[in-house]
Amino acid sequence: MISIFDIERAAQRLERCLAMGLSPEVQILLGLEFFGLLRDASCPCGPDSYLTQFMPRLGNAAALADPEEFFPDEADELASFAEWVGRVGGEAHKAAMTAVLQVATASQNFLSECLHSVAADEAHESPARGAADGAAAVALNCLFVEHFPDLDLPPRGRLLKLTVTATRIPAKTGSDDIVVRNPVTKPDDRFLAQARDSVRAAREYMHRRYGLQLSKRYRLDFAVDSTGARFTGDSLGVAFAIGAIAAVARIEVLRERVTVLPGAAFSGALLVGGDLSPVDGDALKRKIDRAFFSRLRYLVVPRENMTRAWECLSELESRCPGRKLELVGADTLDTVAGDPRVVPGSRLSPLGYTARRMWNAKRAPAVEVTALVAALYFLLYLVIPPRYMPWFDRNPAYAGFNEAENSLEARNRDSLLIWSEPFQCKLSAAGWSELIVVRDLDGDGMNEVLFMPLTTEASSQRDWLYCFSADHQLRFKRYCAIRGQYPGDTAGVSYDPEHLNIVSVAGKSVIITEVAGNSPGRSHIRLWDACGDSLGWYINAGASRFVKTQDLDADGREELLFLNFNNRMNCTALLVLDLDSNVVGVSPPYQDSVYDLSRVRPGSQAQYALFPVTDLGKLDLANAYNAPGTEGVRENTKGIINVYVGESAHADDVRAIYSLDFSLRVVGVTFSDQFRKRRNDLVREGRLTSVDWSQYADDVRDSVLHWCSGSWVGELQLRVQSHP
Amino acid sequence: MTLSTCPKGRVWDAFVLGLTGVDVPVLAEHLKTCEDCQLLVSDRRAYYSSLAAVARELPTDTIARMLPPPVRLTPINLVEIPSQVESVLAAEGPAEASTPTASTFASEDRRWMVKVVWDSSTGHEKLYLLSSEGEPVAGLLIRLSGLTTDYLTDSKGCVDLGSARWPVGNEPEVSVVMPAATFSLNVTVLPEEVQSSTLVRSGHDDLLKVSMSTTETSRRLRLEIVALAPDLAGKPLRVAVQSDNNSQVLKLEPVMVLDHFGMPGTLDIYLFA
Repeated sequence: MISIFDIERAAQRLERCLAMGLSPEVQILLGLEFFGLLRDASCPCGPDSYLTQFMPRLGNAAALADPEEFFPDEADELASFAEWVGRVGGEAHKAAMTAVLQVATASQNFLSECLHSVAADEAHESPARGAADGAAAVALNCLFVEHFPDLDLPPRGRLLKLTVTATRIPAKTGSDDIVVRNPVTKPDDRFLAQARDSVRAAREYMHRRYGLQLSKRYRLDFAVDSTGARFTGDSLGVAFAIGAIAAVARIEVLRERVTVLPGAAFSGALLVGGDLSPVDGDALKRKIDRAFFSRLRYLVVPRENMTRAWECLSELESRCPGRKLELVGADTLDTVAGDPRVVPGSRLSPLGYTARRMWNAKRAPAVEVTALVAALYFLLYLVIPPRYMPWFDRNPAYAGFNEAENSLEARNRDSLLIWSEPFQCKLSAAGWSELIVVRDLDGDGMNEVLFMPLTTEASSQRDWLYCFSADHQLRFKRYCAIRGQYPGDTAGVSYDPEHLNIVSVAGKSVIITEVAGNSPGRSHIRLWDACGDSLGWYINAGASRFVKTQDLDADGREELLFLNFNNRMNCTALLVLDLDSNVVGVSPPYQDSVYDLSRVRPGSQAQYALFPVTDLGKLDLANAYNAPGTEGVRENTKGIINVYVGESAHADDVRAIYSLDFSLRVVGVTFSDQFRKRRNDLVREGRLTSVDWSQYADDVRDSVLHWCSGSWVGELQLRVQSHP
Repeated sequence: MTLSTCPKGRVWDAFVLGLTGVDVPVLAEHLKTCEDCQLLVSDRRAYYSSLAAVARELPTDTIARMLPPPVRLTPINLVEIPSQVESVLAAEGPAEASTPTASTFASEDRRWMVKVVWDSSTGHEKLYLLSSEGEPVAGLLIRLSGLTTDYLTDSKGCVDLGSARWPVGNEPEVSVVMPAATFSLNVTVLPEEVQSSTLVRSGHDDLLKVSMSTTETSRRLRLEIVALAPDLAGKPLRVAVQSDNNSQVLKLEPVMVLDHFGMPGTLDIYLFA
C-alpha cells in the first residue's frame, strides 16, 4: 500500500513543476499523473487537501490550454478526471472542474472530427491553424518532439506554426539577414545554424528552378509560436527552407506562384547541400502520432524513414480506420518543393509574367504611368469600394457587432463600413448594444469606438474594454474587473460585461464600465478618463446600473448615480459616487451571514440608500429582491429625483416611486396605478389588509435605510433627529 | 391569585427543578386542586430523580486511561528539484512562476502528516491532518506555534484557519492533541422546549450534563461537569464542542454556556488535557 508520504512526495514534485512556467497542456498532464496516482493508490488519506492545493492552478491551465494538443487517451483521462473531481470535490472545485471538463470535451470533439475521413479532407481546404494574415508572411506547420527528462514525462510530439516573412535588403549587404524569434536562447544555437543552412539551400534551389540571382539579399524573419515549449531546432530544417521559398516568392516575380498547403506539415533536418537527414526513430513515431491526431493531411518525412513511418502509420490506421494521413517521402529539398501535394504552384501566363516583371523592375516608366492611370481609372470608378475614396466619411457614427464575421464594425453616418475588428473569442449576439459606445473622447472631431466583448467562454479578451480611434488604431484597452477585493474575486474567475457608459463630468469625459459576477453576486464598477487612466473603482454587493449624472451638492461637478441591487440586503439600492473624492472600495454591508466581508475595504460612496421590499413585494415578487425599475432615476421636478422600484413579478409597472431631494432624503412616496390595483386585488383576496394610502406611503417612506457613519440609519430615525 | 388554565409542561419542569422565573406559590396552589397537573408533576419528579440516581450510581474511577502527550510535527521537504532546469534549447516560458501554496509537516514517527494549504477560492488558509495508518482524524485538537487559538479538526481532518496566515516564525510547529474523553449525542433527542438535561458519559466514565434551550434566533447549549475520572480531576482541561456546522474550543469550567449553537444533528464534545 502506498503511504501518504509517497503521495506527498509526488505532490511536492508537482508543486515544483507547476512553478517552472511549463505550457498549460504539460501542467495538466502532470496534474493528471499525480491525481491518477492518488486515485489508484489505496492510500489512507482523502484527496481534499490536494484538490485544494492544485485544482485552482489546474483549472487556470485548462482555461488556457489548447484542446488540439491532447491525444485521445489523454482527452478521455481528462474527462474522467473532471468527473472524479466533480464527485469527490463538490462545489468547492466546481469552477476548476468545469474548466477541465470543457477542455476535455473540446479535445474529444476535435479528435472525433479529425479521425473522420471527411473532416480530414476538409482540412485540405481550410487555412493552417493560426495562419499568418500579413500579406508577405507565410505560415506553415512543423512538427517537434518535446523532451521532459526532468519531469519523468515521456517525449511527445507537438505541432507548431512557423511564420516566415521576407523583405528585400540592399545587395551590398554581404549575406542574407536571418532572424529566428522565440526559441533562440543563444546566438550560436542550433536553431540559428539550421536556419542559415536551410536558407542557403532554399536560395540555391530558387536559383536553379527560377533563376533568382544569388547576389540578391533578403531579410528572412522566422517566428515559432512556442511559448513554454521545449524542443530541438534541427527538426525545423525542411520547414525553414520551404517557408523561405514561399516567402521570397511573395515579393519576387517568379514564373510560378508558390504556396504551402495548409494541411501539410514538415519534419526533418536539412543539410547545406539540400539533402534531408533522417529523423531519430523514436522521434519519428512521436511526430507521426501527433500528425495523425490533428487536422493534417500530408506529412513530409525523410525517405530513409519511410519504412518505419509506414509501420507507425499502419498501426495507427488499424486503431482508427477512418483517418487518412498521407506520408510524403523526400530525400532532397527539390523533391519537397516540387511536390504539388504539399507545395502547389500555379504557373503565370507569359503576358502576366512579363507585365509583372516590368512593373517590378521599374524599367519602363511610360508603361508604368499608362498602366497606373488606367488602373486608377478602374479603381476609382469600378473597383475600389467607396471607403477608399478621399471624400469618404471616415468618422464613425455607429458601431455594431457582426455575428457572421465575429467582429466589431464601425460605420459612418451613411451606415457604410469604415473598418472591422475581428475578435478571437466567440462574441455573443445578445446584449452587445449596452457594451458599445461611439463618442468623441478627445475633442478632435472624430469619434472613438469603445467596446466590451460579450462572450460566455473563457477568453483573454473577456472583461476588457477596448478603445479604437476613428482610424482603427487601438488607443487603449483596460481590464474592467478588480481582483482580490471581494469574496470570490480570485484568479481564473470570469465576469459578465454589463454596461458601458460615457458621461460628462465638469466638461470632461468619464468612462464607466460595469462587469458582474455571481456567488456572491457583485458588480465591479471602474471609472476611466478619456485617456484610459483610472479614476477609481467600486464594488457593489449586487448587479449595478449607472443611471444618470446629477450635481447633487451644487459644486458645479456632477455626481454619478447608480440604481443597483444589493444582494446582501435583498433590495434595491441607490448609489452616489463623487469623483471629487477618491472613489474606491466596496459597498455596505460589511457583515454577512454567508460571506466573510470582514476584510473588504469599505467604500467611499457619497451616498448609499436602500429601498426595502414592501408588503406587496413580499407576496408578489419572484424572489427576495425588489428590482430597480426600468425608468431608473428621473428628475421630474426641479431639485427632486424620483427613484422607481419594481415590486411585483405579477404585472408590469407595479412601482413604488420614491421622491428624494438632493441630499437623498425621502420627501415622499407615491405608487403607480398598477401598484394600487394589484394591492387592492390582494386585499380582496384576503392576502393583504386594507390601508390608508397616505399612511401607507409614510410607512414605506420611513422604511428607507441610509448608510451613515458605518451603520444603517432609517429614514424615520433621520426624520426624528431633524424634527425632534 | 389563581390560574385560569393549566401551566405548560416547561413551567412544571422549571418548578420541579427549582429554577428561577416561575411563581412557586401560585403553582403550588394550583397543584393542590388540579389532578392533571399533579399527575404531570409526579411524572416529571420521577424522571429527574432517576437522572440524579444515574449520576450518583456511576462509578468515577473505573478504567485508567492513557493520556498521550501532544504529537509534535515539524516541516518536511521530500523532494529536491533544482528550481532552474536546463532544458534543450527551451523556448522562453511565461515570466510569472507561481509560488508554492502548501506547507507540509510530519511527526517524528511518520505517523501523522499535516498540510497547510492556501485555498484560493475562499482566500482562507486550510489545514489538513492525515494519518499514515488510516486512523480517525476527526475531533483532534490542533495547536500552531505562534498562534494562541486552538483548533478542532472536522470529520475530514480539516481546519479552516480563516484569514490567519501560517506558518509564521523560523521554526513553525504543529501539535496534535488526542482527546482524553469523547462524548457524542444526537441533538434531536434533547427536549428543546425546556431547560431539561441529559447525561452523557465518556468511555472512561467522565460524566457530563448537557442542556439546550431555544431562543427566537438560536440555541443555547449548557454544559455542566458532573463527574471527572480521577486522572483528569484537577488538571487544566480544554473542552471542544462540534456540531454539524460549528465548533468551539474553550477552557473547561464547571459550567459552560455556548450561545448561537447550531441546528439539530450530531453533537460531539471532547475533553483535552
